[in-house]
This record gives sequence, C-alpha cells and structure tokens, in this order.
Amino acid sequence: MNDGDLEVFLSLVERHRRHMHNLALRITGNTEDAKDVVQESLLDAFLHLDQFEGRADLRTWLHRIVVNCALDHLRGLRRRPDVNDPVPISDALHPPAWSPDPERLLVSADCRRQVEAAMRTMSPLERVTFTLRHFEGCSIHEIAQTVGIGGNTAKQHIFRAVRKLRRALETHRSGQ
Amino acid sequence: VSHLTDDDLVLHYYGEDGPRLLAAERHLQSCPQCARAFDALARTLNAVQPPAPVEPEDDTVALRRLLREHSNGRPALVTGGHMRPRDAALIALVWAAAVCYPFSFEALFTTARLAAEHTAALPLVALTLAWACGGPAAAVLALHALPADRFARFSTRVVLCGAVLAAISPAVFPLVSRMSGALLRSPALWPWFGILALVSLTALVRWPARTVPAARVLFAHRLSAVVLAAFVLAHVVNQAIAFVSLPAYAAMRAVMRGASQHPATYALIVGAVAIQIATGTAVGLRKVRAGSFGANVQAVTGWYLAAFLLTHVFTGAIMSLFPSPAPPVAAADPFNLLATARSAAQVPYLVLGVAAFLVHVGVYARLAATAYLAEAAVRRLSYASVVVATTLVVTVGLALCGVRLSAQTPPPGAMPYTAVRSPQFVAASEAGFLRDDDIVLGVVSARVARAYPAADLAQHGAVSDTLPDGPVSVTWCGVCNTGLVFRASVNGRTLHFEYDRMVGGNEVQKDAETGSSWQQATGEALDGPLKGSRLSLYPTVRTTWGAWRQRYPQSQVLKPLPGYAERMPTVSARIKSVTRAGPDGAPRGALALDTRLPPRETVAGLEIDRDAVAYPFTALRVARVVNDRVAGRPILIVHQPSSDTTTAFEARVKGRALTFRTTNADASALVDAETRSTWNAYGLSLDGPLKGTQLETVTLVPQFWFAWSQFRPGTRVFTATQTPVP
Repeated sequence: MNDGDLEVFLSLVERHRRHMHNLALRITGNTEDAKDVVQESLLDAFLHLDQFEGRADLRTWLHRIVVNCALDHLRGLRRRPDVNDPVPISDALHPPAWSPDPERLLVSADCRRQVEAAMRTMSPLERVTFTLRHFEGCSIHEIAQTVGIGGNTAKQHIFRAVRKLRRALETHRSGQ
Repeated sequence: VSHLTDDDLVLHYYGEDGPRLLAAERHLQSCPQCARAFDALARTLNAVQPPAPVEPEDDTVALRRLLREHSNGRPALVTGGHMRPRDAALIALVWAAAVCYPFSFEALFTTARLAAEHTAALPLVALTLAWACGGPAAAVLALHALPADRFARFSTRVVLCGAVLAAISPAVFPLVSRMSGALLRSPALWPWFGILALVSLTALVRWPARTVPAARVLFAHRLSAVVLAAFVLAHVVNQAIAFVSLPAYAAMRAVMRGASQHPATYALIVGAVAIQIATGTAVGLRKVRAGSFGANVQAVTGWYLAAFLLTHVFTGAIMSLFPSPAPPVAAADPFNLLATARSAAQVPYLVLGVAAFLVHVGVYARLAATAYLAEAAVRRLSYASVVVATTLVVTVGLALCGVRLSAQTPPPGAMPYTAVRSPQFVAASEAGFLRDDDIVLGVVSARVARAYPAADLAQHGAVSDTLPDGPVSVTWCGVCNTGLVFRASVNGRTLHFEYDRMVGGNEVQKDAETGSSWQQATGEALDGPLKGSRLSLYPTVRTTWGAWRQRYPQSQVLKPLPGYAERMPTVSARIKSVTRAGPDGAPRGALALDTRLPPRETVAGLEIDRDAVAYPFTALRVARVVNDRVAGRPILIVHQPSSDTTTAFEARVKGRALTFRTTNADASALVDAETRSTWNAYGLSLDGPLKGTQLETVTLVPQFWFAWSQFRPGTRVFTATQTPVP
C-alpha cells in the first residue's frame, strides 16, 4: 500500500473517529484506554481493508472493529493489575442538566462512582454487551453478531451485568 | 398468574421481549408486585448514564507514522525496534517446548526404568511426564500474553508459530518419527528440527487477514463434534476401564471394534474427523486472543485434537504410502507404554489426547451453559466436570503406564515387542508349551544345547543370551521369516539389541551400547558408530521341536514370559503356515523384486565369499540331498522333509571332496560315494572308514526369497533338476 492509499484511508476514517473514540470510551471507561483502542482499531482496519467489501457501511464495519478491539483491550487489562484501576469514568462525565443543585450533584456523583465500581466488577463480555445494549442502543441480535457470540449468551451477559449494577446501586440506596 | 422474572423485566425494559412484549406490558398493568419490581429496575438503569461525548485528540501524525510503518511491512526482528523483552520470552518459551520435545519422552522412559528399580524415583516420572505434556500449556501461556496486533508483527507470528508447534508436538512427533524411520532410515531428530525450521519460515511472510468463519462452518464443526464425541467418549471410558479390570476392558474393546469397523460406522468416524479438522482450522486462529484464557485453551486444545485425530485415525493410511511395513507383532504394549523408549512417546500423546478432548468439549459446554443456566449453576457444573475429567485423565494415564487397581495378567493379543535380556530356560521335559511340529532355532555350544521357540522369538525380535563360548543374540524377523543367531560381540564389547525399524521388509535392530543400527538379514551395521561392521553368524539349525528334542534330549528351552506363552500357539501356527506356503506378494518396503521365485517362498540361503546360492524349500523337499560347489568349495546340503530341517556342511575330509546320497526317504541317513561311509543328517559319520568324522558345519540362512534376493542381488537359485546326485 502506498502513501496515497494511506492518505485516502485516513481521510475516510477521519469522519468516524469521534464516534469510534466515544464508543471506545464508553466501553473502556477512560480516555487513555479509549485512545489505545481507537489506535488498535484503525491499525486493524488498515491492515484488513481488503476485507471491507462494501457489504456493510464503513461506520458499521469500524464499529464492529472497535468493539472487538475494546474487548481484547479489556481482557488484556484484566491481566495487568497496575492498570486495572484506571482514571475514573466520572472525569469524563458532565453532571446531568436536570440536577443543578449541589446536594443532588453530590448524590449523583456518588451514584456514578457506584456505577463505575459495578462496571469494574463486570467481565469484559458483560461490560461490552451491556454498553452496547444500554449506551449504544444495539439490539441483542446486533450485539451477538458484532461480538461473535450466540444471542442467548449475549442475553445472559447483559442479565449478569444488570444484576451487578442493581446490587451495587441498591446497596448504595439502602446506605443513604 | 405467572409473574415476570428479573430477566423478563430486563428484556422488557430494553424492548427485547419480542412477541411477549404486549403480554408483559398487560401483566405489568395488572400486577402491582411486578410493576413495583419493574419501576425499581427502571430507576436503577435510568441512573446509569453514558459518558458525555468528547472530542478526540488530534493524533493524526502519530497514527500516520504507525500505519506507514505497518504498510511497509517492516518485520520487527529486522528493524530491531519493536522486539519487546516479553515477546522474546514468549518466543523462547514456545520454541523451547517444541525443540526439546523429542528429549522429553527419552527422559520419561529413562525415569520409568529407574522407577521400576527404585520406587523413590516415581516423582521423576511425574516430572518428566509433565515436561512431555507441557507444550500445550506453554502455548496457552504464550497466547494469553500475545501482543494484540493481529499478527502484523514478525515477533507475534513467531510466537504463534511456536505456540502451534508446542501444542501439537506430542501428537505429530510420533508420526514424524515413524515416517523418518521409513523414508530416511534415521532417527527423527533432524527431520523434526527441519520441520520446525520450515514452519518458522512462515512467520517471515505477512499472513492473510483473518476471516470470520461463516455460521455454516461453525454448525458443521459442532455437528461433527457431536458425532465424534460419542465415539471418543466411549473410547476414553474404555481406556479408563483398563485401570480397573482388563477383562472388562478387553470385552468392551471387542464390542467397540466390531461396531467401529463396520464400513458405515468407519466412514462416519473418518468423515467427522475430516470435518472437525477442516472446520477447526478455520475457527482456530480466530479463537486466539490475548487475555482470553478460555478462548486460548479452546484454540490450543483444538489444534492438538486436530493433530491427534489426524495421526490417530489416519496414521495407518499415511504410513501405507511409505514402503516400510511394521513387524507383525511390533505393536506397543497398550498395558504398559513405559516398557520401551519407543512406546514411551505414546504416553504424552495419548494422555494429552484424552485431556484435550475433555477440555475442548468442557470449555465449549461451559460457554453454552452460560447462555441457559444461572451463573452459580454453571460454576457448580464446572467444578463437577473438572473433577470427573481429571479423574478420567489420571485413570487413563495410570492404565497406560501399567498401573492397575490390582495385579492382572494382560489378555492374550497384545504384548510389547521388546527384546529379552535375561532369558530363562527350562528342561526339554518341562517344555509343555511346545508341540513337536513347532519350529525352533537350535544351537549347541560345548555340551550345552539350547532351543529357542520361533513363536516366542517372533514376539520379541531378539533374545540376548550367553553361551559357553560367548554372548549371542538370537533374532527373528516375522516379516521375512528369518531366524538367525549372531555373536553379540564387536571389538570385545557385548551388544544388546532392540527392535528399531524395518528396512526392505527386514528388521533393523539397534544396540543399546553404541546406538548403531543393524540389518538382521545381513548382520551389517547401517548407521551409528559401528557403521559398516558385521556381526558373525553363529551356527544354528532351524528345525522342529520334536526333531531337536530327539537329538538333544537334555536340551534347554527358552521359557516364554507370562503373556507371551498364551500367544504361542497362534504365532506358531502362522509361522508354520507361511513356511509351508508363503502368502502372495512381497511386503511393502521390499527393496527390489527378483521374480525368479515367488517373493515369500522360503529358501535356505548360503553365502561364502560373496558367492550366494538360494535353495528353495520346495526344491529341497524333492532333492533332499544336494552336492554343490559354492565359492569353489564342495558343499553338502541335507533337507529332512519331515521336519523341514536343512543342514549344510563342507563336503571335504582331509582334503578329499565327498559326494553324498541319501539312503532313506527322510534323508536322515546318507552314504558317501568315495568311501562308502554312512552319515547322519548332521554331518557325523556313523559307520565305515570315516566313522566318527564330523563334517565342518556351514551356516544356512532360511528366509523368504524376497529378503534373500534383495540383499544378495545376483544370487544363484538351486533347482531340483540340477542336483548332481551320482
């Protein structure tokens, strides 16, 4: 592949980089990991560009690559305890617009910490399937196809993720 | 009224309850309990908000550099800039496992022999077995830490190549070893290293992009797995039963063999294996992922199973392509694979086969169960499965290593083809295991006469014995029907022989002292430190037990070992049958075919100073006495048809050549034309002017024609009509 092809590829993916970055951020929970995932995804896409035959649109193809790279990345993180406690997701969160008063903000920040803690207890697959379902609005069928697992397996991972979240948040509420 | 479960509520929250959407909504409106539960769930999930979208940093320059580097395809090792210490460690781990594999089962065999003498050495056996089985474990570890670069970097590809080789070494090396013996007539070490080097070359080129297997491929893989798993599981259980009861094992094996050898069943198994390997190869690389322990275990066990099934099911077919038959009873002892160095390689091969099957199926079953069962139930089932699988693997391993719950005699039908080093003898009167017409090799040294039953020799290949005039090796090759006795001493060093391989349809035996390999038919060392040396033939007579006992009533007889004695009637019947009328055609591996005689016609070969003559038994049965000249020397051949005993002598006394003829139908009495002295068939003059004279014995080599002719091209063939009987 020559430099011309490289520039074409970069300009093609440029308009999708924001989407890719935010998707990676939602799955991994911190910006540094999201940057790594996007870089790995773009390298993967670049190396396997010949596989993109136009049967799906480019955004869907890149979406799928980001999800799988993020999944690999989360699995890698599990092996590295030194980076297992990344920059909190709340650093990237803005307080909800409907809760302007400081007391509610405090409660909301506390709740987010509980959510973050709960999400850290999820397995990579639970985290990915839940993120895709809850944040990205993908159907279970789409999730199964994207990640390469069965529909029932995807469902079970989402159920487990929700159970972990409920356990964390209900403990939080009962402690208030 | 059936309430909605927590999982139903989650599906309803996300609108994923499909056709039950309306029913669930109606239920929530009518059931306050479920409505409260749903509200609680919705409150929780509503509180989980995504991070707000952010603008990514502009790192186009770094990205461009990264992509350009990869588009140029610069391998990491060449540039030297990307080889991380961790990659180097992974490469060293997996390649060391593959390179060192051939040494592991040698160590296993050595420690097993040590443990047989000193029980304290048992932990060493476990240690060496762990070493031999360690390749797949090393592969899983390496894949777990594999850089996530989609094999774009050279070092990653080297790691993956090494991981594949480390994983499949125990399955592939035995086949390479056999093929090496057949094709190159050499040990498998260098061919093995050659294969490793070739595979490592594939890391130099950029690999094609991984493709996601179609659902059809996965479906075919799983369907064929179900078919195959039934057979394999029955096979594994059968092997485990050998630990408890050998008769039960033998009975179940007989039933299974009957079922699996039916053409339809066999086709089903072979088809399932072929589909498994083809579809598994497509799935295998996709499974590899850094950090995904389960997926990597699944991939590594899949690779091993593919190699294992390939060798286990297709070895017979593969080896039939190469011209080297195994000896008829050369199978390893399935009840103690640690009996020989050769069969020790089967222990890691089989134990890993069982383990890989159970783990591969178990990991998939766990993944499938997570889709339908609660986490706690899956965990409990997993623990139970691990216990059952470990028990099965350990049980099969112990059974293969000859360890059993109680002392049991293996059933006749499968004994190890190993040489006897400490032979025991019984008096002729105690040799109830022999029939009069059984073939024996007889030797006489000083006043000691010993008979070695062919049916016992054929089950061992070689017996190391010590006669009053030195050590001998009594050998038998079942493929070419050759029984020979050699002086087992070269340059003053006593050698002990063990079956090594087949060359030209004839056994090649390796001596334990120098590692040299010796062709049985010629006694010549083919390779090793003693290459080119020749063993001296020891005078021997091939005759029947009845004839030998009549001549030497005080003879000692080699006592068959337990397990071998039970098989003697069957083996003896086969030897007598093929000696009388050999089967058609030369065996695979015959080096050259001389068509003057049928390939498996038994001949008595005689070679003096490179003048070789073959005396076919069919012609000898007619002629009975042959007066011939070989290498210019007068030679007398006597054949007693009643026992198919052939003896040969130099027909010369005090420089005078004699000519003989028989005076009875069985050629047991002869008279020479020159002095009218009478003789027996063993060259002793019984009456007349030469009474008491013993003719000098010439050693004959009875064997199939194909074997004699291929090692002595240009040999003369005796025909009954040429007998110069006066």
